[in-house]
Amino acid sequence: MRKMKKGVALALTATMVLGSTVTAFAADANSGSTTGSGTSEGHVDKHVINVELPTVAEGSTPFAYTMDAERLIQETGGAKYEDAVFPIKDSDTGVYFLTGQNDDGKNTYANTSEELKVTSKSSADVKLTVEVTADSKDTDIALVDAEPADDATDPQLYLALKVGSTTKAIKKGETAKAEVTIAGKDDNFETTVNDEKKYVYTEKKVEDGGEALTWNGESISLTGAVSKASAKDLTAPELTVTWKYEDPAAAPTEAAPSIATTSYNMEADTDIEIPVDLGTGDLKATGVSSIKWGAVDLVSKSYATYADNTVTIKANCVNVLLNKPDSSQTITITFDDAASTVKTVTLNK
Amino acid sequence: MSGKSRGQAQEAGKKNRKIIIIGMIIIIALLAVIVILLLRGKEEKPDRNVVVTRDNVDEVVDNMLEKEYVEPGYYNASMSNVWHFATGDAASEDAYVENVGENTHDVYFDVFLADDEEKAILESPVLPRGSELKEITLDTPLDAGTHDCIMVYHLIDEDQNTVSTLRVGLTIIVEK
Repeated sequence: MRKMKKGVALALTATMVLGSTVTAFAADANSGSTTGSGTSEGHVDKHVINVELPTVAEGSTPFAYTMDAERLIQETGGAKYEDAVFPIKDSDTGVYFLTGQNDDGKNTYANTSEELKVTSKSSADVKLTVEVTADSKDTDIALVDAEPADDATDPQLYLALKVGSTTKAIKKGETAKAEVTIAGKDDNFETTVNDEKKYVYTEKKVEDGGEALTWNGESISLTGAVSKASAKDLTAPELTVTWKYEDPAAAPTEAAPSIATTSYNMEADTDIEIPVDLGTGDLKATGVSSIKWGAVDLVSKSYATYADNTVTIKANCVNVLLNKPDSSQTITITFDDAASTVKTVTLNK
Repeated sequence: MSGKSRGQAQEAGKKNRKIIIIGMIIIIALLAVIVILLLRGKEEKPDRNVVVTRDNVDEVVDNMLEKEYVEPGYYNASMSNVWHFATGDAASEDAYVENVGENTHDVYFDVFLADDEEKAILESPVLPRGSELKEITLDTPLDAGTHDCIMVYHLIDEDQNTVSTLRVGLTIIVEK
């Protein structure tokens, strides 16, 4: 019995000793695992492109002007136009734009139009293009490249588009184009939440009395000069202004074939060279598949060629077209891209 | 006259009245159409640029003195400039036009091919300030290719008369 008690005591003692030293290999106290799911808070496009452009009042034309070749307004001046302000006689070029009213309420006319402002309210740069075309009526006065000389004997009109420091003469049947990049102002924008609980990138709100946001922009105007030869029975060309703007960062990596300038004036015995753009990416062409005038294939008749991104209408073709009664002819150029892009070019007399 | 013939006469009378009334309605409708067509034909044409001659110098100067100077107007154009269409008659997923709230007028716009400004390929509804147009579909489907287009905005008054216009270039790409 005594031995048995000793045995039990030993066993119990061993159990106690072992039990106190057994380490419970439970999970590491410094690590753990759990599962959960994450969500994206969303995306906000911070590339905001907004451009403020000048409009043309209904019933008016862009850059409306009056052309006085014989300087009759100056000649009959004095009491006749006390109620208006005209340019100084010695430097007057004979083309008048209404530019405003002076403090006395008199209409003010100048040889250069009022400046129109284009303002970019964008967070990123904007590439702006302004194109001005003059209509091509047969009765219109001839448009020339530079201010007519004082002693010019033919009726000539010079109209030029001024964009920043660039001046481009406007020619009959052609498009005067000026391009400029206007820097964006990202600092004028902030991320907010709209009524639909979506993140938007918008102009910063200006508190009452706070400083207004400033933006970058460009000024556009038109200047004119007419020769002192009589323009009787002639008409003044009408102008059309088209604005184009694009985000340079969003330039397409794929572009179909195109032709930048689609109107040319014909001159006898002179080739007309028409630069073409074959496009980019999957939409690109490798060349031109046909050049036609109506149903006439100009290439097979040696009237036109294509090489090195240039379509050439040969002088012999130009001479033929000049003898046609119509004031203009249409040339159809088909590219060899998958879509067989077709572009037309107008050739004017 | 017998009762039966009297009834027939009354029926005939009613029938004649109906025919007369219908005829009058048709005539009034035709007159309305004629009036509308005549009024549309009288759209105001813009003043043309003037050439001064000895015959008209006095008149021209008078007009120049009296001409009303109008401050240039401006419009904040918020739109995508390249519109992609899967097919010519599909809705575009990236074309949008917004008339931002700070603009001064409601607008509508017409889209033309650059070399044909006689026929619009899209005529929009009126966009009040603060509204936008998305998922745009062309009224006239275009063939596959890249098309240079012109969008002409019309800023309008409360009677939907055009107050001023603005021309903006636009590129439309039809994939198939």
